[in-house]
Amino acid sequence: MGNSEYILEMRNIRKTFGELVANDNVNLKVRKGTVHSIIGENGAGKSTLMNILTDIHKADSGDILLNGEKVHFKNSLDAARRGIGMIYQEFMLYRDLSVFDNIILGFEKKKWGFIIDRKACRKEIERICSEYSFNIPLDAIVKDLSVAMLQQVEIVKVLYRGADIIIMDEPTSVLTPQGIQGLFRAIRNLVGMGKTIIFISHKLKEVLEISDYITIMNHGRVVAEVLPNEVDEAKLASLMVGRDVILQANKVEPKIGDVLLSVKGLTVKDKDEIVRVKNVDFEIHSGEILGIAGVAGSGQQWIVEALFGLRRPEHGSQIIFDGKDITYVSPREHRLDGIGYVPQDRMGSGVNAKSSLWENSIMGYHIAHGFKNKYLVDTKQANEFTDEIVEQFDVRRQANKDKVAALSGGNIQKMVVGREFLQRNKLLIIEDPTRGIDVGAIEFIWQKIIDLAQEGVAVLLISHELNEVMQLSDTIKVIYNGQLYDGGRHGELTEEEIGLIMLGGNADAK
Amino acid sequence: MPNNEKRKLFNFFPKKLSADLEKKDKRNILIFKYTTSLILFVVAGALLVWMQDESPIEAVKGIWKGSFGSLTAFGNTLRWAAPSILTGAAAIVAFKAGVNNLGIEGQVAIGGFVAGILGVFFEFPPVVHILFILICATLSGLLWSVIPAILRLFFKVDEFITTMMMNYVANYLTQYLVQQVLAGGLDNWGYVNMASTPTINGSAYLPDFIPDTTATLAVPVAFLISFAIAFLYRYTVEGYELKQVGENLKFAKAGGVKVVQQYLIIFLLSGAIAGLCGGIEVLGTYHKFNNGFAANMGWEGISIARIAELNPVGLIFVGFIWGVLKAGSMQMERMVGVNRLTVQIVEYMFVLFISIDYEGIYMRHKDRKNKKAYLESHKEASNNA
Amino acid sequence: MLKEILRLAFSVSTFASTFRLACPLLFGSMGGCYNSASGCANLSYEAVMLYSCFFSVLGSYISGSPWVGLLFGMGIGIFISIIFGTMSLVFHSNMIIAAIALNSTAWAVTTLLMVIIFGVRGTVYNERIVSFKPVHFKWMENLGIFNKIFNDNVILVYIAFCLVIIAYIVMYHTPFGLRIRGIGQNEKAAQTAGVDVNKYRWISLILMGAFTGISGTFLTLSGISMFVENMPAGKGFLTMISITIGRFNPLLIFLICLLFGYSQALVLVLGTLSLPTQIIAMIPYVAVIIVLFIDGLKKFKGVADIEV
Repeated sequence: MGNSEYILEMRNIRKTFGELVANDNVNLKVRKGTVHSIIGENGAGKSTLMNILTDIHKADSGDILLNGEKVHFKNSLDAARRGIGMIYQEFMLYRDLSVFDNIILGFEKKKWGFIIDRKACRKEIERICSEYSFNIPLDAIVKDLSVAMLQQVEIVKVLYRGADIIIMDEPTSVLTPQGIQGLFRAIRNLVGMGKTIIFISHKLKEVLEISDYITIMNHGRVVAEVLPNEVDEAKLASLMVGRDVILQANKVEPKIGDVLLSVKGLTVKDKDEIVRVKNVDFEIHSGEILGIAGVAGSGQQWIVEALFGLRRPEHGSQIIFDGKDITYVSPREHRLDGIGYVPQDRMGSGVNAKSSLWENSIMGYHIAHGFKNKYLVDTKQANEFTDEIVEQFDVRRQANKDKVAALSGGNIQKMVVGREFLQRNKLLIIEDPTRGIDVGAIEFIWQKIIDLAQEGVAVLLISHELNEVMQLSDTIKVIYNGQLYDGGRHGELTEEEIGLIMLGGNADAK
Repeated sequence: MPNNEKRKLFNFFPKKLSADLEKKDKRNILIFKYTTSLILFVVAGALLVWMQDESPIEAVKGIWKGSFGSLTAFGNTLRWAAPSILTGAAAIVAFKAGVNNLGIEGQVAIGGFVAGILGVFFEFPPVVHILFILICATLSGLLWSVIPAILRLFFKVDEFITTMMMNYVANYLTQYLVQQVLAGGLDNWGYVNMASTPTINGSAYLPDFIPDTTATLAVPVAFLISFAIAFLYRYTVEGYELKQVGENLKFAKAGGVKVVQQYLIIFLLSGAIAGLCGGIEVLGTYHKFNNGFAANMGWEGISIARIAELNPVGLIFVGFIWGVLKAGSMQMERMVGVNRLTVQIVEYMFVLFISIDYEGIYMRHKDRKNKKAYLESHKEASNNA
Repeated sequence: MLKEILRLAFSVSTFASTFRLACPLLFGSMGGCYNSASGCANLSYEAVMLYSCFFSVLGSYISGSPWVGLLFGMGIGIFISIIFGTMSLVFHSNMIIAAIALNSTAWAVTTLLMVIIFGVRGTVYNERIVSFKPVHFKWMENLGIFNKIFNDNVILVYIAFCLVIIAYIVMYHTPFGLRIRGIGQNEKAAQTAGVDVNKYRWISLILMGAFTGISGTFLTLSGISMFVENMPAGKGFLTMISITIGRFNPLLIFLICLLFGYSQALVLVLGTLSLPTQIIAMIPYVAVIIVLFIDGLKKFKGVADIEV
């Protein structure tokens, strides 16, 4: 019935959250058997649109047409039955269940009316795995698997549910260049088998590589629809942001001083006694930016935790900062010594969303700098410091007593970065400073990092964005499986070469 | 991570639908919350009284007479308000910092028991004796909370269960010590009372706050403690750190707060206040330790803290109302044939009503209104076109 | 003396009463494990149990049949859990507070009803209240100790044991159990899998009410045929605790319930020796704390690694 050129059509979708208009009369048309990308900055409304499609959110108004037929989903089960499957950015998995249980949950085959027919389910999953050539351990517990594996689990899960349209929300953000190629192979394979992929991303290069059609969103609206051969990265970026942006750090010649931090034989175990960091050595000089690249979960988290005193390293490890052994001291003393820390987990370790802006701003500051009276909080001083952050780091807020939860992700990140940067620290440990924030804010934070290094601050930059490490760092290290490999000086190695080390393909490069 | 998610359910901070509430919204929510709860409260109370074939108005008169009718009555009110405020304070300290201390009852019992023993077996000059006993009671409440605190901190055992277990242990332990070791005490009529310790020495009696009433110095102490907590959280660095530890421990840790120490302080402070409450109750009111006198005091404290929205100053107000209802209910039972349990039922119904997430309801309602308005304006616009 | 204690502690009658005393906990925890597994911090077992104690007595009193009492008990259990559900799932009130309010009213309401309906305080005893009769199995007679322990119990005891197996199958081999566990671990994921989270929460809550209702009925109508003020006296909390310690696994919960039952049985039999029963009564609680401590010992990694 109707026009079946489009497998999916969304018409005039509008969705508001309170005062915020997340989708404003959005139209989207997707052809069968294609890869259709939707790109836009964070908060442009991509995810909301997809959540409406999968019926996690209800649209305020607008229609959804499948194969030219108007549909009304009663719940997300309904959407799934109609063949819409979504792979979320944060995987929708149950940590303590097996991969098998994760896949079948919600779509169990039954025998005798009420017992799960595990045999039939397993057969079906194995069929899918061989048909699309996936290889996943069905009986493993999810929490033991790597991220790339979890993504495969997610794809198999969606296929098991019989999806024809597969939505992938930022699927590449956790993968290595090689992992991304693997994913793209899988995508092409799926499309070849007649599936339709909706690919959501803000990485332009990938979008250009994989897509058949590209829809660009900005501020809840569709601003353009283009074909990949019509545009280039710069054009896409300007469409996305509404102005011309080139993501290029203004790298200047570093002024490298004495050794500030030296780490020798650092070994860290996690709480299950598994060795996560093995015998890592490195040195950072003042004024130097040392970048550590690596696939997520290679041990970055444990290095940082050990460096900042959040986790106890094993015996034999030695961390010397400014001539002082800080291997086993608490975060409090790190603060007092002049070490700042921008955590990756922004809403967890970075801020307390339930508290006000000023309360968040003085965390750490109240230890390293203190107030006039040792025991009382000086509201005036706290507000002054908050204002300083707000002004210098362009945090958009109404009042200092606003709850942090009311700020946008980018503003929160600027606040966190500002808090650590303005405390006149000697060493900054920065983890994923630009994760999930928009292009404008990335440029801004990059510039600030470079400025700080110019002032003689040593910076340890740990990022999952290879590009970020390559753009900013004076010295590049690559972490793979808990061990540190040399990634050369700034601009010495190409992206592909470092990518290979990230995967352990070049272990002799050490 | 799943543990983390589970903990969210015990969270005392209501879910925010929309974080940026306007001032007007906040006021509206407050009005909405308390009027709805009060109306439901009054209706439920009237219904219950009416079901017992009595006039609700007479019942209210009874309560008024029992709580404000005379100086003695008012003293009674204050007497009942004091332990409510103290247990409420213990609950506020713990829950504000995210510690689910369900063991207030046990800590009160232990504090009371220690006070009872020290009151009998020691004889000091009055003031010294009282201070000595209260300090010991406080310390014993504190020590009683050390076990769950350590288990929580170092061994990741949920305090939610251990504190409750410690209640049972406290209950049986004091019972054992009173019955089997002390073999009971003499009651006021000279009979052996297996369920309580002997009456404490006169030097340990807590002096009256209002002469010739049951209101003892417990009242000002309770007030002082609530104010102290309010001050702690509002103006001090210590309070700031405690608050951050409670609301987001990872954040506080990364910020350099000594989380272990602070977490322990929260636990111990809560236990200490509860222990003090037990000591004060024994010295001020019962003058001996009765088995099970602390029953339900913990739950009551948590409820009161909740009604006061974990605000120490609000706590005084709510605790006072609690005192009014308690003192009044006995008079009411005597005056009108309404069972005083009615008051307890109604009290906790109020707790139930007030625990509803009014903010969520209000925001959803507002959201719906906005959407409707948009759709209508949209329709008009398209009609005009 | 010690010999005497040991003889009593391992006597047949102690084991027999262990199973009887574990039953009230078993019903509640087998019905309630789903509710806990779905991530619901439900403390209202005590209230549900107390109400059902009273109403089962009332049902038996009115009709003269324990089965009607059972129906009444389950009915009120479901009703109370629906109130709890309305508060926590519809109005999103804080679960702990809602449960505390329910628990605290339960005592007052049942006592008040006792005064209004039976005109007494303290204990309701009436010959019109009929208990379940013990069932005698002929085939068990020549099984020796087994016979002494298991034969001649009320039908509910046997049902309780069957329930453990059923609960286990439901938890680990049916879509319902799988989904419930999924909801408890990641509610959002369950939602995206098309699971109606609220529906499952409600079902689990009603199961909890119904089965905790049976617990209450068991307390009153398994032989003593009377109602005492605040009758469960903490058994509701114990039920909840055994679920939590058993990590929602019905078999583990079963063992924990037996532990509690055994210690209560010890209190009964050793009480006759004029031993300090309070200390014995304390044992299971201390034991639980010690078990939790040993369990936690694995996770101990020094002071620096505190992750609360």
